[in-house]
Amino acid sequence: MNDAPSPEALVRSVLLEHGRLTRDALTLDADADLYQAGMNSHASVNVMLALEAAFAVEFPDHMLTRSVFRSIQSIGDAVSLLSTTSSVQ
Amino acid sequence: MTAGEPTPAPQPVFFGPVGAALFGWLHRPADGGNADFGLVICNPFGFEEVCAHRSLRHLACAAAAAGIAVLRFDYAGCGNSSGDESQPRMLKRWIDSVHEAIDTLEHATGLSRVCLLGLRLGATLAALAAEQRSDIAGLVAIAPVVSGRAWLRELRLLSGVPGAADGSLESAGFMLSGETCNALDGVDLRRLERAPAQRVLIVERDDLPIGDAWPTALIRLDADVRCERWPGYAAMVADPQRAQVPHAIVDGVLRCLAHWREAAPPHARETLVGAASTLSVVDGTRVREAALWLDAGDTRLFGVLTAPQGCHGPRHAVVMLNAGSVHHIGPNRLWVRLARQWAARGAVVLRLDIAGIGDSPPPRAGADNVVYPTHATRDVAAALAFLQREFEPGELHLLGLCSGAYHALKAAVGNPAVTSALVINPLTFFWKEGMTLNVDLQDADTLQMTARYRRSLWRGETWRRLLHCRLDFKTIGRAVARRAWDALRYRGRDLARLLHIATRDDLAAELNAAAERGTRIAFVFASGDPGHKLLELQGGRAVKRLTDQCRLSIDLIDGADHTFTRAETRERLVAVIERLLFTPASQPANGRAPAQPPLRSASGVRGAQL
Repeated sequence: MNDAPSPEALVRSVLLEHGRLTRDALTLDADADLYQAGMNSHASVNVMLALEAAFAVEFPDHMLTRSVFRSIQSIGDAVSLLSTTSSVQ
Repeated sequence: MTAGEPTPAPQPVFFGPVGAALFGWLHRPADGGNADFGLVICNPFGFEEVCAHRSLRHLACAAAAAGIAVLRFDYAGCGNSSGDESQPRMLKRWIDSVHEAIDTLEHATGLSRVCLLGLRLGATLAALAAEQRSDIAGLVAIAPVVSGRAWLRELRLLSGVPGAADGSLESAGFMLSGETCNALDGVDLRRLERAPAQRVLIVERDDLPIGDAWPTALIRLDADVRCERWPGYAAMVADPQRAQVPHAIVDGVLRCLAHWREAAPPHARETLVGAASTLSVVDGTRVREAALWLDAGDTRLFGVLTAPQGCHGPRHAVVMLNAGSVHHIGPNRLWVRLARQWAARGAVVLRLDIAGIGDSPPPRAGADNVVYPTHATRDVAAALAFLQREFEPGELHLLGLCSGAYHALKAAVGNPAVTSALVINPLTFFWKEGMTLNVDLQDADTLQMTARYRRSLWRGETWRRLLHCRLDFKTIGRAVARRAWDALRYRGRDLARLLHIATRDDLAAELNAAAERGTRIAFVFASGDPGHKLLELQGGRAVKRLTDQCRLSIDLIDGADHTFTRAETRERLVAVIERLLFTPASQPANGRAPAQPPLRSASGVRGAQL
């Protein structure tokens, strides 16, 4: 049995620790706007750094935009894409 | 240090090359300056510096109180120092600035044992400078930027948009040219060829791990490395109004410096640094800048005066006020640029820190970092009186953003000497003692929240969440109820005005009083900033009437945020405020003819025409 957290759970736990959200990252809608939920630009930088450490990926420059970090869904999509790319390489 | 002897007040200094002077603060220890051990503090860059400014001032004061001579300073193109971000070879200029600061501290205090302390990019610059010399007794690196490339990636995300075609980067209101980004991209402290100092203290950030690659590399270079993770980093670099002094880091660093001090023998001698003024050429005009102190009540106010050389009786004198807790460089360093630009046009400009903000100490019984203090009007009056006394200008103007806009407005309403107030993005018009930033900017917050709810009504997601009972009904209900109550209040006030019934906190009465006296109030708002709506609601019909009479103006700037962090919106702001400031008082600054003649001519009251 695999006890490793799902990618979405990992994203949520990073947001819980670094996102400075005013709402609970564990129950927030996957497509809710994180910036409206209290995450500011500085927190988003910490989220990015923590995600890179958690998933062992590096967001390329063109993905360092607000739209990528806007929701749990968009972050999950980006991480999934990067994980696939890095595993192919 | 002699027990009980007070530490001298920090001394502002200009130093470095003629025409490219650097600005700094010399903190002499209590024994009259005969320190045998010194510390040069290297700032972080950009908005991180703005956030940490107060904490680094506290750290410098604490070190001086412990008997250490300290110089904290602005790099070339930063803070109050000469130049701007567009200059070439900026990374080299910054490293050269560190060398200048080390040499200046050694000459100023006669000491020969200097340590460097740097925060974020400051730690990087300190390490790069120290690698090039052999006289650094120790390096304290707080949350160092180990990889320039990684740091640039952080800034890119902070900027929120893809990079520009020329490689330049604009992040949180501060620019890095493409060339500077390229140079920083190649910086990697793990590749230093020699240790920056024999002793290195690395204070890790308390919110994220930074890895052990740099400490390992330093140990390989035979440095004596100590790593600590004292709490306080994240709170230190929070927004300036909320940033907290990291006392655990300050105490830990001082303990470490005391240990290093015991380990190295002293060689002291005494010399002096120059006066706190400098001369430079801006747009072909010789402009002088001077750091000065003004008396205000039981405290002193710090300011930087910028004026054309040999200036007497200028037409314009301007006082620029703190934007929130941002020190006297202004939002995104805009005040520095404007002061120099306007001095080149003949104006005298004073960039002021009100008591308890930036580099002005708080009043004896007051706290520091309070952005709406009751003494602000007194502080502004002291600055206005100074300019009147020293320069006898034809016109006196006030410029402020956010809380600075509030203080500019209040000072203009209460002080007949003021010709005009340029009031940018105020968030409140009646601040009461005891209110707090978090919960009491309620009028503005309520407007923003209800506007957001209105927009949400058109989104399917809102209705989905409503159906699943996942909306915060309590918060929404509270905001809507408060908005309704506010609307009733404002209507009631309009009615009272019609019936000539005086009410408390009447914005219309304040605006009318200023207009009657001939003082021009010029509001500038980023479109959508809540202050605009508040002005219309709280000012009522008076706002439209005074605007039609060209005795009050409102300019809106589309696409801008509250502090104009994007350069493109800042340029449009500059165009607007220069038009407002340099338009003759007899002409409407909004370019419109008055709908009806003013009750009293502004030019007749002021008597000063361009």
